[in-house]
Amino acid sequence: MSGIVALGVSRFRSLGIRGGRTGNLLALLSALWLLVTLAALIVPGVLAPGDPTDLRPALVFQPPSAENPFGTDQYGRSVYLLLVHGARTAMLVGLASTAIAVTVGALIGLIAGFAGGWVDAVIGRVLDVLMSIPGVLLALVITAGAGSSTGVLIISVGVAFIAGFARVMRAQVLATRERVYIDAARSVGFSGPRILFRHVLPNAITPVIGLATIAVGEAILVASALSFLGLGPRLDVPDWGQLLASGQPFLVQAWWVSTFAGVTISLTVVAVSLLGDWLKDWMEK
Amino acid sequence: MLHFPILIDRRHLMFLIIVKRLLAGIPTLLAVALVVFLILRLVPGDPIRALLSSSPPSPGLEERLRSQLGLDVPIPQQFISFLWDALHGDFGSSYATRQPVTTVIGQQLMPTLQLALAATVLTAVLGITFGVLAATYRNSVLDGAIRLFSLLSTSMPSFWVGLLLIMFIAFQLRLVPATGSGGFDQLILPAITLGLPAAGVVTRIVRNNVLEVLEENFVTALRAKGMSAGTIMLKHVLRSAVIPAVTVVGLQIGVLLAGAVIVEQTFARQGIGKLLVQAILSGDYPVVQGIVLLIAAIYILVNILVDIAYTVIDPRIRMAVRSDA
Amino acid sequence: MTNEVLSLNGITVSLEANRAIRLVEDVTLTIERGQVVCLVGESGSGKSVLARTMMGLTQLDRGVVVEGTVTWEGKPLGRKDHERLRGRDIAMVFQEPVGSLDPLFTVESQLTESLRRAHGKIGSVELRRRIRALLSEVGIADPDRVMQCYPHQLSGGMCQRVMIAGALACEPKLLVADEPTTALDVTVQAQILDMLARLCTERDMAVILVTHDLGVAARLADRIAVLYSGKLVEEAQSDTTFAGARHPYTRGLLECVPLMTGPRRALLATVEGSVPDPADRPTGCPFAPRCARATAECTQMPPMSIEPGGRFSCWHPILTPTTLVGTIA
Repeated sequence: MSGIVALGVSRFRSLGIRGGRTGNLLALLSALWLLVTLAALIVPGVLAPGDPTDLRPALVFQPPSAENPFGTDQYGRSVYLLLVHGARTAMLVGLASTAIAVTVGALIGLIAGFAGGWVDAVIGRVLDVLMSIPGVLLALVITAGAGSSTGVLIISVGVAFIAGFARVMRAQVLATRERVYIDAARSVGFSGPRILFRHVLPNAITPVIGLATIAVGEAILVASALSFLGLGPRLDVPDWGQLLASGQPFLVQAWWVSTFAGVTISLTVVAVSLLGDWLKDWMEK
Repeated sequence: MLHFPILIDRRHLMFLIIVKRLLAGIPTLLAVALVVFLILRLVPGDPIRALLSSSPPSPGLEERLRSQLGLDVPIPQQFISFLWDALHGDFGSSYATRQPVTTVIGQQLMPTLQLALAATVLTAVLGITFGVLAATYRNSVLDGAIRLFSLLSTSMPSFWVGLLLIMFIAFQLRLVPATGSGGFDQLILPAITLGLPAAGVVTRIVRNNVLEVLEENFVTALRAKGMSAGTIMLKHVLRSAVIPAVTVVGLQIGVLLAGAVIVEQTFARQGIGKLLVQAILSGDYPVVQGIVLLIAAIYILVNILVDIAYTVIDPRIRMAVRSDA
Repeated sequence: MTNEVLSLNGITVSLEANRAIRLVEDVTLTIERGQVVCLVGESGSGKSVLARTMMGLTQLDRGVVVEGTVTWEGKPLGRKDHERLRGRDIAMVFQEPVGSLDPLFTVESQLTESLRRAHGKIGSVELRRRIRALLSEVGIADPDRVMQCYPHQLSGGMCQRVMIAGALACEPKLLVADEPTTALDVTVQAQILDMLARLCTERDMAVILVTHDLGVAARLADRIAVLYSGKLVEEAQSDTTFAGARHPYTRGLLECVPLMTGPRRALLATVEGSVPDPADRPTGCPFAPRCARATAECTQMPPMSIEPGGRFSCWHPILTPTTLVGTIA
């Protein structure tokens, strides 16, 4: 939501932690948190046994306690259960939309970079246009047209990030194309596609992965924003954004609903960023 | 390109450059309009059904409504008529209220502009100050704290930050009201919520730039000339470091406008963000189109301004641009 | 009134993180009015660090510790004193001329900055007159046009002249030039060097010229100071050095200069080996590992031997006159 994908700047680097023990420790903690989240995605029942959708009017707005570690919401549901079971949507959307953005974007970038000429010019224009519409807005527009479902959410967030990846890929292709060793390879008789796979792609992977890790975090934020606005899919178990929204009218009497949802989202985004950047550093070695 | 006689003076040239850039922005805007148009119409979902869902079924009503709203003709034709009307200032009418889109948007525009402006000022001031401080006192506790701020502000969802601010500052401390669109008081929290993530990004960029500039040879040369650190920083370093920061602030405007959508919802503020969400939920395409086009137009305009600012600040770019024209 | 302008006493520059790593070790050097002293050495010899220490810039760097004193006209300099001197009595010119000028300011504004710093408030008419004079003095034919230019519009040679003009603006008693011609074409080099020599005499200005090129030193220097791996190994009058350098390293450098009159197909002389990394410096004479004359004695640092023509630090100095053959027999 802060346009970070457009800039391709990483959060982790900003802390100036480059490898070293602090960096490794943070990456480890992030990995642990993400493992927990993944577990919540795959086997929510193990982490949080019980039915999150169980309406228990008697337990409305209970503060955090032993039975309900994060308290209960206006329907008496345990916030903890809701968060764990709701992890599915957030993580799914985050990962899937980034996957779409990476694949489609990289493909477009590759084509633009390799083809050059008018193909590149046209694609460049299209990308310019896409970048003129801020990401959240683009996602909103798509949701407007296509209604709300998880699939739509994934696609709209994915589309918003395509331009970023296309740009990165294209830049990589152009840069590698200029390099002398491509000429050397050509002069020995290697053909286009071979050059593509053996030289361009390996070089391009690092920045693309770097951007991807940023994008996953952003995707989670954008998706939860859309849910918060009520434009997300209608599910049995509300996703994190919706949970946050539902807690908003009750901030005074039941602060825990929104707060824990917010903490969870933030932690996940931070964890993804930190881990991703650690990966990037590690790959650059 | 046209060749101008050498006698043309600097101001004329600047004017021509500005005009040239503005003209280049128009095709982009048209393309944006097309994209939005297409997305709304090609993607599965039918506004007519939505509109009629609450009314009792009656034969021919659907066809009449469709033709009335111009949705029964092929899409390219729809787009052409949309463009034609737009050139005359008519951006269609809201499906919901039947009022012209321009009126509907116009009513809600002011609060959003106020919000965006306040947030931009906050972003720029906070971002640049923190960035410079962090670079000057590199690796100190202050630097670490500022970088931590940068990391957190860009990782936390803005709606949550908004809620936190409401909880603590509005409710606990009762310093400012939580919601509403009235005066300055009600502008503070939303502006902070909106501007904070952008400030985080700007801080980091400014910090990096300042550090880079400090490594440049001419800074050592200035030190050798006897200039004090303060003078060097303010007069020379900032000017060089600010250049890329200007792009970032420009980019952030787009993000701010989009973020306004969320912030207005959180703080129950009037504005085009709230309007947009309502329009989406009710399938009010003309309004959605209108707002998105407006935001895109502002974004493109701001980027043109940033480009121009570049040429004003950096003589190297100015010369290159001049020879281009 | 003493003739002494700047004096370095026992200057040692080491890394804060590891004080054993010394970039410059125990250098003592005195510069007198109107003298041109060439600081000669290979890269890694510490000559740039030394030059910056004279300006007081190394003392401002982070992660570096400077021991010893720098005195100006006999008085030791603290940080504040040093800052006051910069841009007024001492000025510096750098190796990379285009990058050493702020790209966002015209030549006129940058020279104005220097003039105002040195001479206080000056009216704009007077300013322009002085700038024109300075630019002419450094050999720029059309000062009015150049004044309005930005650094990227000027060639390397022009920029260097502008930098020198800026340095002269304050009428310094000492000009420190760190490899001012290394980045320039050979023809321009000669012009700039001759200009420096002329300015030196005209303005009674001392010049420290840092260079790796003995040819440059031959052209300009009154005295030559040779640095090897952070230590001052020889310092003498220019004539003395060229006629008969005492230190084997200096001799080696001299012999490396190819002569126009030497035999055509002979091999170029070289000094075997390379400058040690400051972290790996041997105890005693740093040149010992590369020196043909080294003995067990050389693990002890030789003291400075002082002669009428100069001084040197070597257990086995060469006492015969130089044979500038420029080749290996």
